[in-house]
Amino acid sequence: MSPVLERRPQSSTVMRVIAPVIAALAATLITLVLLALSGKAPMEGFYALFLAPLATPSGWAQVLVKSAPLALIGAGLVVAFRARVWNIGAQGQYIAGAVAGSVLVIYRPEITGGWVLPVILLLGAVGGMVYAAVPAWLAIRFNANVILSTLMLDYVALAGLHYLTFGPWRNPANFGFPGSVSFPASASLPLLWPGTQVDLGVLLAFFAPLLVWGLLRFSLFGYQVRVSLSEAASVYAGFSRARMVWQSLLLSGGLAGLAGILQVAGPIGQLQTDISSDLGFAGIIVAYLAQLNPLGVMPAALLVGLFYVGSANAQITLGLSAALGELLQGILLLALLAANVLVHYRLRWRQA
Amino acid sequence: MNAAAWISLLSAVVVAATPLLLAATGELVCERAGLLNLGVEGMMAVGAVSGFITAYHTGSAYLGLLAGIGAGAACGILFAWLTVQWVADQVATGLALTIFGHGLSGFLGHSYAGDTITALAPLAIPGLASIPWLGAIFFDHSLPVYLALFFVFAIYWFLYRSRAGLTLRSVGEDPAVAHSLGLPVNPTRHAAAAFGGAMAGFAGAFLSTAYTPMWAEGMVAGQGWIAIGLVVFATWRPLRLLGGAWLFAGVGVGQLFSQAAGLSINTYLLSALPYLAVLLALVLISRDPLRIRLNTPASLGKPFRAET
Amino acid sequence: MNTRRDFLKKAAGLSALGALGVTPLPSLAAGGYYTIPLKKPLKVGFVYIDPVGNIGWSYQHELGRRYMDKKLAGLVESTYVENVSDARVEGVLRQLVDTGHQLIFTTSFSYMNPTLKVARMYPQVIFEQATGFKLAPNMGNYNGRFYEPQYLTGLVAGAMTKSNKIGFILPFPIPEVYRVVDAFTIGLHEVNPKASVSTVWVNTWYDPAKEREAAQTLVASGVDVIATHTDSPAPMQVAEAHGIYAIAQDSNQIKYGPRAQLTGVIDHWGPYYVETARRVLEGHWRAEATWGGLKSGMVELAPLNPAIPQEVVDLVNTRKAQIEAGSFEIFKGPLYGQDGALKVPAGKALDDKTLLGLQWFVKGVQGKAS
Repeated sequence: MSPVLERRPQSSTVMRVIAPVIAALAATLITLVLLALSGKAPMEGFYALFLAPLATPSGWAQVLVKSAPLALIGAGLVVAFRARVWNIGAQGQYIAGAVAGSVLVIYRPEITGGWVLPVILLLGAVGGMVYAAVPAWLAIRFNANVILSTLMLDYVALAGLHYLTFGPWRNPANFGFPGSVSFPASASLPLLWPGTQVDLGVLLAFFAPLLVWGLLRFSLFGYQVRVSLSEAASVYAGFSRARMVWQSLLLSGGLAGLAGILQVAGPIGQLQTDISSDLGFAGIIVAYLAQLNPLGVMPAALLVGLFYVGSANAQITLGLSAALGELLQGILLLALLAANVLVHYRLRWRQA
Repeated sequence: MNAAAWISLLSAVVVAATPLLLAATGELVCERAGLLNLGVEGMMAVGAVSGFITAYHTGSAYLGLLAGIGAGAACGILFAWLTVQWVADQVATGLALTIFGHGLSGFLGHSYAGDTITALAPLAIPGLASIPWLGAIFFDHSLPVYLALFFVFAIYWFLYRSRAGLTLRSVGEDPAVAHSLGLPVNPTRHAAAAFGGAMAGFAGAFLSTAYTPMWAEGMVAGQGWIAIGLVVFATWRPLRLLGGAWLFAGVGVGQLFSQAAGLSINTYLLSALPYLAVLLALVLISRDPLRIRLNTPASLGKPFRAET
Repeated sequence: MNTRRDFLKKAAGLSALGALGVTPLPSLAAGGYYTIPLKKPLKVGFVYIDPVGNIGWSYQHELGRRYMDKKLAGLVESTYVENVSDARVEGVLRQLVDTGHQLIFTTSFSYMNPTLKVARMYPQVIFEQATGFKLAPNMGNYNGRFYEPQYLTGLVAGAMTKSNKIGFILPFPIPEVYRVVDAFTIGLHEVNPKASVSTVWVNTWYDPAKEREAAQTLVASGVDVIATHTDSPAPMQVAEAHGIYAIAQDSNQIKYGPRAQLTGVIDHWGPYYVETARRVLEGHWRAEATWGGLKSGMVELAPLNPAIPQEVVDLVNTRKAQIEAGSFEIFKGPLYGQDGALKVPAGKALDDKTLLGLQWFVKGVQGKAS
């Protein structure tokens, strides 16, 4: 008897849901083995990584805060990836959003009023969109590969952020230390859960996947995205590829930009040299863990958020290596991709 | 600026281009077979850490290189298994490999950061090394520098002059047609991905055993991404990789030199310059769609599974 | 020189032996102390910006932590979190507080604002932040006067250069970087007025390949001594390979450049960590700004290369003793800016407050200031 893969006539919806569970179990198993190999008690390590953060309210708060930007970025990328627009430049768009949203605070730090915060958030989203418009334009006008242009623009955005935070946007009262002035109360997100970092931004972020779900489900744009999985079908339906590239880049860029300004006007509180733009990359993992389904983005973001909090906790309580958290993300995603084979294929046993 | 300074700079560019060339040559072969592996950065990290650890324990940097090649090939095979055998999304698998490789290298290398090894020694090529200018620039380096150049030409020959290369290109053009012609689609893709991984691992091990003989988390620092960029820059033609790698390394070294020479240019702009250069080159090359289409492997990134 | 803030002098009657943990602290006069309800043993947390490894900035702090653990065995229990980016530090600090840590050292200048924010929220925990300047009732800060040993390395470089060109590899334009480059150049010119310093900004704290390339371009431009304020030993390796000299940063890098390493600047945090933890334990801690120089031992000069002539060694030792005794000012006028304009007139010297926010290069430094 040997196992063979046999193509399913139709991809299995049930498997699409079960595959992540299988992947999580496999990743957990591999984690336990890794823990044992590195001389730690596996169950203790498992507890520190995955359960301890969820044992206290403040742990939950941390997981929520870490997941929020991932949910925003991931929701946007779901759309882009479904439309086969490989925007892997969410980091750059995140930075652009943080920078654009900070303009008002930098140049008019004294402004107050209820309108300030909404305007700042809007500027952030527009910043991300404008930065995502560059690769869209390069792709449409010059046929430039989106993977590469978005990637190169990440590095350019980072250099720009360095320039601003070490240069003209530096807080003049800070003895030459980098980083902008702190965001005043009128430009900061109100806390929803006192004593933690959970603010309005977390709530906004968790609405994004739902909105994206609605957009994909009920709008013409959503229909176009769904059919663009098949090139032939979208050509047949007469949809413009150029418009699809524009729209999906603007949407994913805008959400990444919003994530950026929500971090700066929220937990971080100032525009600084490091604003965790690596979240842009983690957002890609979230989109795939969600099986490119907007409704999967929330649980996926929470899981990756848990990894961040859990790996810091495992370091504090058990002295586990900091690299473990990242390794786990990689293993989980690889396990999921492997498990996804069952969506399209079924396992049959065949006489040798 | 005197001749010695020029020679010293150009020689630095040739060496700095080496990891890019090695990784890009591997990726080019992989893409020519229709597989887009975005995991180069992660495979380089795994190659770097295995190369360093092996060199540390065996005392031989050459064994380190071999270990890096082997570890990279293993990553490439993992990629092929997932994307060819199990038709996983290539973009997602490549990105997963990058994250996995980065995490794994940090995990394995944790206790090796700050240790020292005996670095790969330069091997001056007798005769050639004493040619004025060219000798010092090209022929007074460690073995991987020559091998990187060798592979560029060897792969050119392989792709355009050998039967196996023709098979590989046919598989990349249209795997369904290749399969119906009886060409070994899956084995070819597995081999191409393994080669791509091996070369990325080689590039990483070059960094950790020869270029900056040390292990540090994140030491690949984006070079894997640049290598992927170079493949597009070269429009999938091996010989053009040379120009791209030298251009990128040249802009990187040049911006540092312009500072050392006292030119007052915004240093953040200089830091972004190599990436802007790639972007500009990308635009210039891509604007002629015909040229891209002529060389791009038509099946690049698209899932295909040869049913047996 | 203003040594008021050297930590050994913070409290009168505190002996050097006390700081090393050999004798118990003398009891101090009441007043101004910030006490917290202690749980024993005292749980001490450290936050590092890099992976610890066995070399570099964070490793030096880790050595300090281990030193504290040994000296105060049974009294403290410590842990660390490594590779914590600026944007993640607030969450990590909260986790440390949640897990019962009552004294927390945050070891990067970029951790200043998050540390302050968390300190305000948790008054029952004491925070100490490295290389920043802000204070709160339960948050102190500490820093090394890295420029003091860097001035001494400048004396050595001035004597050893043949080409009269020195290269300096720089991370980002913050005052600490201007202080060390300027102090180095002042030392350099004291011995060798003809020498100049070429600067290269790499805009990273740690990227071995880029640091290597920066070192190589400096070699190509004729430099024969390389100093850095970045963190990797790659420039030392380049110097070793090219038969020139280099100056170590943070850790002793002698194994990367057994012939090339002239000397270097070494950070030595252990005694300060022992001292601070002891004060917290005894209820004698208060929020202070500590700027420890050569005298305190918080910064040290790496062993001198045997190739350095004896008269230079003597000069270095003399100056070192004078700095420790407070009888020698490094930033003493006349000092000129890069453009030759007089910045500090003769008879004056820069005070600590000005040094804290220093933003310009002295004459003889080539390259753009940021």
